[in-house]
Amino acid sequence: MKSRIKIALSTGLLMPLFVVAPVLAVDGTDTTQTTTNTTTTEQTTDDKKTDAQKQAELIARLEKRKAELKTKLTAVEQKRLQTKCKGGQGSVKSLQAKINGTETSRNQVYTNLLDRLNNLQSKLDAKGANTAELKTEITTLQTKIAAFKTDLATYKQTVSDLAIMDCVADPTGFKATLEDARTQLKTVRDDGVAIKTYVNDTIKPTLTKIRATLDTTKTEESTKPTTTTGNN
Amino acid sequence: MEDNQTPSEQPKATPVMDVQPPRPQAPVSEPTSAPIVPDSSAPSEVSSEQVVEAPAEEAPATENDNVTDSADAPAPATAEPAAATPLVATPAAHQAHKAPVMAIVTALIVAIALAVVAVYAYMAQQNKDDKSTTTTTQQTTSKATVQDVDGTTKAIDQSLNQVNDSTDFDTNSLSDSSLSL
Repeated sequence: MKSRIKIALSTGLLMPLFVVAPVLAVDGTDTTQTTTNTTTTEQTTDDKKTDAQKQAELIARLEKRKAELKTKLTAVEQKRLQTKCKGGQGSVKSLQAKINGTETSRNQVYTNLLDRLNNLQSKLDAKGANTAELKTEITTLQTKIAAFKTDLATYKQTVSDLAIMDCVADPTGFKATLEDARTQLKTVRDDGVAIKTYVNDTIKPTLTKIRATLDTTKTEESTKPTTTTGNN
Repeated sequence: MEDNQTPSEQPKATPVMDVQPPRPQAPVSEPTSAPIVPDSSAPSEVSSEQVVEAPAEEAPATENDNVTDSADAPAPATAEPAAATPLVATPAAHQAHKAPVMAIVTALIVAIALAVVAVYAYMAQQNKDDKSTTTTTQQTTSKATVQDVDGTTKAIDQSLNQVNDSTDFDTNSLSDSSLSL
């Protein structure tokens, strides 16, 4: 009798485990995978690059820029840079903070822009309007924004190199990096202008055309019931 | 049974048969036909008592040796099953051993079935949630109106007015003069 009670008790205690454990196992699989993926991504970006690797990459970039520098520095120019570059690096560091702020605000503005356009396009699709042209233009805008982000990241890297490099030991590298940064600054600025121009000159006229189509459709819909009432 | 009893045995039986003994004696002393009527009822009472007393005699059989042969008869009858018990005990013990195994197997089957049902119910619920989310997303996409287009155009203008490429990416910021070079 006692053994039966023991069996009944143990079965009663183990039975919920058989119900809950598989569900928790199935539910935990996705969470574990997500956590693992996130950790792996973070490791690849941050932890994998040691200081030595970062230094090696910096040297490689400097050598590449020096090779691309068209005009060689004279001895006088080198000496002048060696004496003044440290002060210039202070100004570059303040410029870095400004670039970070600009990057954040630009990302917000462009993301908001794309969200609004995509939302409107979905609504226009639901309405049955012709959105083929708008879709193509949104894709082009996305490409332009992606190019802006890439160029801005490159510009940020160059300015960072300019701020942390040993300009006294390598004035030619400093000059080459500065020239590179100036070129990239123009590129990023041109990217921003191109986005603005494209939105103003291409997308907004398309929206105006679509609006006219919707307005016509609305007028036709409003006249139809009047005609029907008149016939009755 | 009453016919075999002698008058000398009657006092001993009085505590058990308090009414019946005088009736058989009545026909012997007075052979009138009048007592015959109760006599016909007497056997019926006796027979009813025998039926009632029969099980009672089996229990005290070992205590009273003075009881009649009929009382001795059940004793060997009870001994026979006692002797047969060891013969049946082996399969019974085997069954007793099988019982917990069967219970465990049954419990395992039930547990596996419950686990499968629980996982299936969980997966079904998740699929239902995904479908409902998709449905909700589809329902929120309403048809575009002129006001939507106007609103989007206005919002785009406001967004683009927030950015100023000339100040955000000032080319003078990297000039020799600004860097004091």
